[in-house]
Amino acid sequence: MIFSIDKTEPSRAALLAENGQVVTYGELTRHSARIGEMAGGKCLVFCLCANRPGSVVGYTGFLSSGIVPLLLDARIDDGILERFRELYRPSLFWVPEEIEIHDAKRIYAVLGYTLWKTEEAPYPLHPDLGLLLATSGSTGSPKLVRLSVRGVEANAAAIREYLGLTEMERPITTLPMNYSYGLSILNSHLLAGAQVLLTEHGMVQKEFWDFFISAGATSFGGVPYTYEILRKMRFTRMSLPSLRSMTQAGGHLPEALQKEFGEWAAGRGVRFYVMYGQTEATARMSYIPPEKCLNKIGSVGRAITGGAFHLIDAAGNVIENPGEVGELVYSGPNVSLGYAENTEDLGKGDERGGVLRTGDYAKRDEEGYYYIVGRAKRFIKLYGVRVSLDECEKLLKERFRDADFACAGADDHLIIYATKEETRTPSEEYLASTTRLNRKAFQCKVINAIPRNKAGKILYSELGGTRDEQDTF
Amino acid sequence: MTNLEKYNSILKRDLAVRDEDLNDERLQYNNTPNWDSIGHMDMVSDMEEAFGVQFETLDIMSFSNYTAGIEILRKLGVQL
Repeated sequence: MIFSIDKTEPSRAALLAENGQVVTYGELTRHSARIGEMAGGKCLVFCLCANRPGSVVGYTGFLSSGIVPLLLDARIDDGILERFRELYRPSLFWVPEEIEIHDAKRIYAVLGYTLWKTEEAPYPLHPDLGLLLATSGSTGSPKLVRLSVRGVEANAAAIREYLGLTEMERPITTLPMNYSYGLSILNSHLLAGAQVLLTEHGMVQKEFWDFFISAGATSFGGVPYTYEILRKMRFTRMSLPSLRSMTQAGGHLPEALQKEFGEWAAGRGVRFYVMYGQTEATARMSYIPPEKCLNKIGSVGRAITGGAFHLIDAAGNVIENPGEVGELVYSGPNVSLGYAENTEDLGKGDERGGVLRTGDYAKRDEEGYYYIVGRAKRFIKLYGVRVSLDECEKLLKERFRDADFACAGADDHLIIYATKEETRTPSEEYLASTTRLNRKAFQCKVINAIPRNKAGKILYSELGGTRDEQDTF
Repeated sequence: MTNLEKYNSILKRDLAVRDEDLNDERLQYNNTPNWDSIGHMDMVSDMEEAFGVQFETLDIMSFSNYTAGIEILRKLGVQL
């Protein structure tokens, strides 16, 4: 079964929920097998994820039996869920019991989750296709990353190795499992036979820390904003004797934070890992070993075991010299099969052959550590969540048909350029409510016209007045 | 402006809510659209600045709804 869950001692706990619910590896294996049987043959299932045991057993059940889940947030906007449903026509839904799915029948329920069967007939899915993750799920972008089970397991194994995970680990959830970084924490720890602590409380809530302490959490992961919150909460003054390691990914950690947390961790014997990855590589591509954290501030580290980085110039030639900037290319067994934008694409096989052009520009130092200096793709991270700028423009143009829009920005800060004053506040509110992200991330600037070239393409470089997108990764 | 009015205006601005929302039923961590960890830390910073107080870690964690915020400020010596 996936992550060899059936090979771990069956009486050991796999999942510990905040309400005291325990799921052992034996139960996880049994539930997974049963869910696989109930789901029938290979087909597409939409999983509405939450950090609850039912969400995890569905996921391990589908992956163990070749059923292909698309992982989405259980709190997804209804309209966006409907758009995904119309486009991808899933045969099944795996959802928290309080959620009703229209035009579908309940066929199975366990651990607070329900399996619904729709009227859609299964359609051909490629044999290698095992898992789908959204590129920008919160904006409803139909673009998905196609992953193989082999790639997911290879990435989990590499992470287990470089983090030195054993069955003694007890990571506590701080990220959703539909997010590739959050999922990679779950995957690597299940493979290690560890106990995953599941909570839906956030780090600013007392319940989170009560559970952290009572269950003896040994690690957590965080996006850059998580570490900003922890600093404001005076995290370094808290007494957390069970904590052994912390990881960071999901965007560039400001150097001051890397230094502050790196120094604190070094003084406490806590391992602090700064890491880099993309959903297109399942999750993880590189990390800085904790003992190098303070020497390599600003770096994304070196490639994980089994993977390799190289840089290419504009002509596609490999750059050999340290210090020269080029596009970062990753190769390894965890590289995704490709993208999907419709049901036909789900029938496609491996289009990448284990090689991923990351779209990030980087340079390498003499010791082989990589530093990202810019980004080619029109994606930014808002509090760790990847958001497609093009998709935001599309949402705004569909909603406010009389105005023209352009979206730009940097991490944690999306700027909407609008041509109508009356769309200023509504455009900010609309993107915030649709993406379910905090309103603070969106700022609208009203301008006379959106600069375009003769072909009608937006000239983002002429929008100005913002931090340069290329400088901020 | 009274201290209660100041408190209310911070919540209204940071959470983008109206006067009629200022109660425990409508304003709760994780149940009000903009009251996530980001909105939470914004409100804490704004209150620290407006009232010249400093939230302890436990105060930050206890601020879970409309009334809890008032109680924490009172505990920190703000007349509310």
